[in-house]
Amino acid sequence: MPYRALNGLLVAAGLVAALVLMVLGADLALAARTGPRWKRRLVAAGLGLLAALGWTPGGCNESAPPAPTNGGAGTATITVSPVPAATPAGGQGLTETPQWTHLTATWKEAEEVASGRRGPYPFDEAGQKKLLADLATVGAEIEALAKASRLNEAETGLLREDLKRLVAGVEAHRPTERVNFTCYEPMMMQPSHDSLARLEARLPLLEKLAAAEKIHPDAVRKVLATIEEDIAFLEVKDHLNEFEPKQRPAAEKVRDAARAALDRVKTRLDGSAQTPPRPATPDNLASNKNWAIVLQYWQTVTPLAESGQSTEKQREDAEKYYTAATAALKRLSDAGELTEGEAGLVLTQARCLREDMLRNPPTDSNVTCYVMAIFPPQQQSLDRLSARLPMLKKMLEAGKLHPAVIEKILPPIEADLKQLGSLPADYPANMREAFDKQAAAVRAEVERAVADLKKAAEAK
Amino acid sequence: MISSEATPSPRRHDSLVFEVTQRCNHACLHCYNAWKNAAPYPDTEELSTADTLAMLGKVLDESGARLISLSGGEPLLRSDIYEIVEFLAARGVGVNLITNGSLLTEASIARLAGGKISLFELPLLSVDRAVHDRLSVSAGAFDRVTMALATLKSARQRVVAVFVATRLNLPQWRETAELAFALGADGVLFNRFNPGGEGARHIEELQASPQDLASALDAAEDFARTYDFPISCSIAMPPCLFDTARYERLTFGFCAAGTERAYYTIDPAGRLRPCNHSPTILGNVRQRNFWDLIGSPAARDFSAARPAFCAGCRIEAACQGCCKAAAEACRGSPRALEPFLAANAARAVKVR
Repeated sequence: MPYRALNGLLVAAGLVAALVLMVLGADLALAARTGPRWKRRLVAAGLGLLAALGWTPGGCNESAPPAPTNGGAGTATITVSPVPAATPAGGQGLTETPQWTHLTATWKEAEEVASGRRGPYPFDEAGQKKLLADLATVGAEIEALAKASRLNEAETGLLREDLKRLVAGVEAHRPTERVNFTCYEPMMMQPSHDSLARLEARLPLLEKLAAAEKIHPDAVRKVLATIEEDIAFLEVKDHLNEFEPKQRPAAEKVRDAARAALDRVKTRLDGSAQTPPRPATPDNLASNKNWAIVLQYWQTVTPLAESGQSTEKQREDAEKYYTAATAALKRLSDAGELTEGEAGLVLTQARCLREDMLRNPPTDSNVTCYVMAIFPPQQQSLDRLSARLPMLKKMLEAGKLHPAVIEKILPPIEADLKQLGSLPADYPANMREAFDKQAAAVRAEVERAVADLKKAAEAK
Repeated sequence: MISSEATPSPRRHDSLVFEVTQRCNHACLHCYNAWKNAAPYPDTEELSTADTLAMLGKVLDESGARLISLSGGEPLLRSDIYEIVEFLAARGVGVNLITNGSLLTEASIARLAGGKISLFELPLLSVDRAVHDRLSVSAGAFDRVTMALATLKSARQRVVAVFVATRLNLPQWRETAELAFALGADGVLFNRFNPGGEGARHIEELQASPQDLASALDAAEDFARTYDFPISCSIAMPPCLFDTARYERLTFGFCAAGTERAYYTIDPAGRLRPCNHSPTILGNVRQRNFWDLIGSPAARDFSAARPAFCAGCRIEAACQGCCKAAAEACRGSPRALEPFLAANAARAVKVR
């Protein structure tokens, strides 16, 4: 910005200086090339403006190239066109040479581009390429003219320098094809009705992704509903008539193909909703090594917990599996592969299995001081259900349900719900009353959560 | 000499970004937010609704902007986001909403629909929910964003899915494009991972090789051609590493710093930066004129910065040395070589 202001002042002062020199009858072209640098700059600036207004020194010969030069100016140059050298005696005038004609025409165009007068996108890609090629030719022409002594050393040097500036200025401007080329600039999208033409292509992909359970079924249903609206739109005769007559058959074809594909996806989706809970294979946990560690613990400990029979060695092994499974669950949770609720629920169940296994003393030991099952089974179920309830809620809130996890955690919950009756009659009445109250509340909440879970799983 | 009087004409800067909040409910590994850089960023308290709208009004009056991209953080975490959108819509300004989609419910979409949002930008990082969730560091993020995308399309909104290409998700790129297309997205932004903020801590883990990215571009070109689907690479793909001319159907971006399409970014407190990736603060639009700030020495210095590596390259001026903001965020200076280019400089072929 300061350069612009400086240039403005320079041009104004230059204009005044040029006018004064004109009144005094001085040779302006000579004045622009001789004398101290400040004077050359000043006069050159004034002549630049006069040239832009159509006046050139030495008369109004329009075929002659304008005289002002950059006059050796620094960064704030005001260059309009190159300086013609004097015509050698008896030879063709410089301004009459084809090189000079090409040079001045190219120069003028490049100057307009570099200065920004032609706007931020002054050409298309082909135009930019051509202008740069022309400037390359101009470089060769300058050298040729210098070699032929049509340009003196100083003029050649000045032209070379200014040519570099012009080339950089042209390269810095972007062609029209790059108008939208900018970091993070949002894409300019085609209108949404274009997606109608894409229906036929979209549906097979949707079908494939839905079949592979890549997308949540609810999202698939939502997409299908949108597509169905598009198809329904096309099924209204009046809407179809909005197409050009020759486009109508194609629209009908798209509509029919989309309808057929839509029905296929819906059938598949509905079919999967009716199928019973799947084995652990359908989701991405099946091939997950951390989940495999959890399953290994489960498979090892479940028979020991259910039978109440285990040896010291089996317990030691189970303890190692338990530690590994706990760490694996943390990794699954940290990686987002299980929700916090899912991981917590599986961990709770893993603890329950461990406690069940440890409830009886090892079969190969005579030691009898282990913690025995002093609580009645009803109390154990209540404790376990109470521990699971917050996890169940979290799991539902997260909305992410892995069939493999549901398959693991639902049966023991249902077993505990079944076992959760009243305390035996020999317990004190007040204890039984308090227990029943607590059990009823927990049962209601757990049953509600389980029902929601099943519903959600079926929906998947 | 630097004053609003000395600004170029016409005095309009079309597009701005407003980071409405720094808060986010995701913790994406690739996040470039300036306040997550190792170098400290000033504490930013969100302005009150009234002050925010006053600040936006002032900057719109000054800049003449016709498009505002609302970003964050997660913009929908801000409770007055609807008032901000309403205000901008009432001013006739186009609004793009850059969101992770987690809070886009049917109810929130209903409040934002009706022509108030020109375009929604949502991340779709993988067709594999585990990979998407891992990159987002948020369990359930995939299911939420796919549902949000489907819901937006059912509400007839314009949506672009953003794929941030990393080592972790590049193998699933083609299938992810299929997913975006199947869900009805209007296009995909294929953005190579561009380190900064949190991303600067995960360069080794996330930065893909030029060869893998070139393969992905091949797949993108094929996909765009097959399905007539717009795919754009808005993070600059260095022309010294990629022959972008090979891809007729893809569009490529260059850094826009200093041009009339520069992506000046305003943080929640009103601080202006050259773009949403750069940590350079030019000043506060609440206190100073927009044009003064973008004409300031700091802005000019940022615009003029080029890595020495690029000297002699024919398109240095247009390319600007790729992403100088990433260089600034990760290597301390916009004149440094940006991380992706630095890692692959030996392979770079200057355009002569």
